[in-house]
Amino acid sequence: MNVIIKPCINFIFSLGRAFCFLGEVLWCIISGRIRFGELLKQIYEQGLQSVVIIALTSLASGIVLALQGYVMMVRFGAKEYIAQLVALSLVRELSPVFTALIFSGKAGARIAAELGTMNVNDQMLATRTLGVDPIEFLVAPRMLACILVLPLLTVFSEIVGIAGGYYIGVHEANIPSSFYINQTLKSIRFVDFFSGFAKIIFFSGIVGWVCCYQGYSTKGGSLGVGKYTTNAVAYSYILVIVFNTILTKVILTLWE
Amino acid sequence: MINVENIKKSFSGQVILDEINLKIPSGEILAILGESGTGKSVLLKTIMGLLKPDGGKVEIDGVNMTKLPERKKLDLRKKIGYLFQEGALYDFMNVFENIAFPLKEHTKLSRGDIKEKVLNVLKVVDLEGVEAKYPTELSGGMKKRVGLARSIILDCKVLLCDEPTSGLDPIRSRDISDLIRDVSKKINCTTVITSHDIENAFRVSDRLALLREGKFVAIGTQQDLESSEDLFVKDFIR
Ligand SMILES: Nc1ncnc2c1ncn2[C@@H]1O[C@H](COP(=O)(O)OP(=O)(O)OP(=O)(O)O)[C@@H](O)[C@H]1O
Ligand SMILES: [Mg+2]
Repeated sequence: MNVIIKPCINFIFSLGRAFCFLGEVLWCIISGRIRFGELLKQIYEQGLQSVVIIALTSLASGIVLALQGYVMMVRFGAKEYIAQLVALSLVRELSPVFTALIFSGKAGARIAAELGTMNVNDQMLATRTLGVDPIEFLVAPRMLACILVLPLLTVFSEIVGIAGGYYIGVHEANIPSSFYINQTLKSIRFVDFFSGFAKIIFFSGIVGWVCCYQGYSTKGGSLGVGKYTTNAVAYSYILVIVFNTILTKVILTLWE
Repeated sequence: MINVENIKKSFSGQVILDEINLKIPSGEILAILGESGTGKSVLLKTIMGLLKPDGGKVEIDGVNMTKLPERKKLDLRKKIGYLFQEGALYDFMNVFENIAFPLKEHTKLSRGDIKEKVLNVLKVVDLEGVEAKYPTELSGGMKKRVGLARSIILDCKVLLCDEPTSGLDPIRSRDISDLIRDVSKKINCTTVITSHDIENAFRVSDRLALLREGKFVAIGTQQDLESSEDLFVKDFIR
C-alpha cells in the first residue's frame, strides 16, 4: 500500500509547490514589480535564440505540406486547394505545436539551466542576502518574456510556413501567384487564427512555468542542473502534447 | 545586537547545531572557529535567515528573524552584509556590475557616484583594474574579495563573513583580516566571521567561539582560549 500512497502524496505536494510558485510569480507580475531592463534582455535573448531554427522548421513544414498536398489533391483534380490545406494546417495546428516544442527545447532548456546553475552556485541565495527577491529579479522576467515571445514566434512561423507552401504551389504546382495568395487569405477565418492563438497562449504559459519552476527548484550540483533541465524539457513536451489534444477537442466543440 | 537562542538544526537525522546560544553585543567582532564540516556555515546561514532552524530563534536588533515573513526579511537584509564562502557572484555580470548591484537596488545615487564608490571599494580590497572582468575569469581568492567588496558597499549594521580568509595567501589573508576589522570598527557594525585560520581569527576578532559537535566548547577572548584547560581547545589553537 505504501508503495502507491507515498508517491501519490509526494506528487500532490510537488504539484502544490509548483502552483505556489506560479502564484508567487504571477503576483509579482500583477503587482507591477516588473524589471523592464531584465525583461527586454530576456525577450531579446529568448527570441533571437530560437528564431532561426523556428524559421527553418516552419519553412520545411510548409514545403512538405504543399508537396504532399499537391500529390494528393492532383488525384482529385483539386490542386487549387493546396493553399487552404497549407494555411489551415499551419495556423490551426502545426505552427503552435512545433513552435512550442522547439522553443521549450531551446529557450526553455536555457531558462532552466541558467536558473538551476544560479541556484547551485548560491547566486539565488545571494540575491536574497542583498535584500532583493529572486522571483522578481531572476524568475519573473524570464517567465514573462516567454509568455510574450512565444506567440510572436508562432505568428512568424505561420508566415514563413505559408511562404514555403506558396513557393511550391506557384513553382511546382503552377498555381497562379495571385490566386494562391487570394485563396490563402480567404481560407483563414478569424476563428482559425484565434483557435491557434488560444493554444499558443496556453502553451507559452506552460513552457514558462515548467521551465522556470524546474530551474528554481534545482538542487544537487551539476548533476542536479542536468536532471532538472532535462525534466523541464520533458515535462513541457508532455504537457504541450497532452494539452494540445484536449484544447483541440474543446475548441472544435465550441466553435464548429 | 545579535541574539541566538537554543538554535537547533539537523539534516536528515544528522544533528548539526544542538541548542546553540550566543549573544553578540553591538559593535563586537566575533569569530566562530571549528573544524571543517562542523556547521559554521549552517550557523551563519541560520542567523541570516537563509536556513530555517528546527527550533529556537535568532534576534537581530530586537527583531525575531525566524518568525519574519520573507518580504520583511528582505527589507531587514539591506542592513546586513553577507559574504558567501564561495563568493556567490552573479556570473552574468562583471565585477563592476556585481559590486554596484546593491547600490543600484537600494540607493538613489547617480551613476558617477556609484562608479566612484565601486572603484574606491575595489581599491580597498586591492583589486584595481579588474572591474570589467567576469567572475569566471577570476581566481577563487579574487572572487572572495569581490564578494567582500559587494557585502560592505552598503553601510551595514551587521556583517556576516563565511571564511573571508580561506583560499588567500598569507599576506592577503592578513590584509583582508585588517580590512574587515577596520571597516567594522569604522562603521561600527556587529561582525561575525567563521574561520579555521586561527592566526587571522585572533587578528580580526574581539571574541572567539569554538564550535564542536553542535555546541560551543569555548567562548571568550584570545587570552581566555589560550589559558583554557580543555584538551580540544588546546589542540585546536596550538
Ligand atoms: N543543504 C544541506 N543538506 C544536507 N546537509 C548539509 C547541508 N548543508 C550542510 N550540510 C551538512 O552540515 C554539516 C556542516 O556543514 P557546513 O557547511 O556548515 O560546514 P562548515 O563548518 O562551514 O565547514 P567548512 O569549514 O568546510 O566550510 C556538514 O556535515 C554537511 O554535510
Ligand atoms: Mg563553511
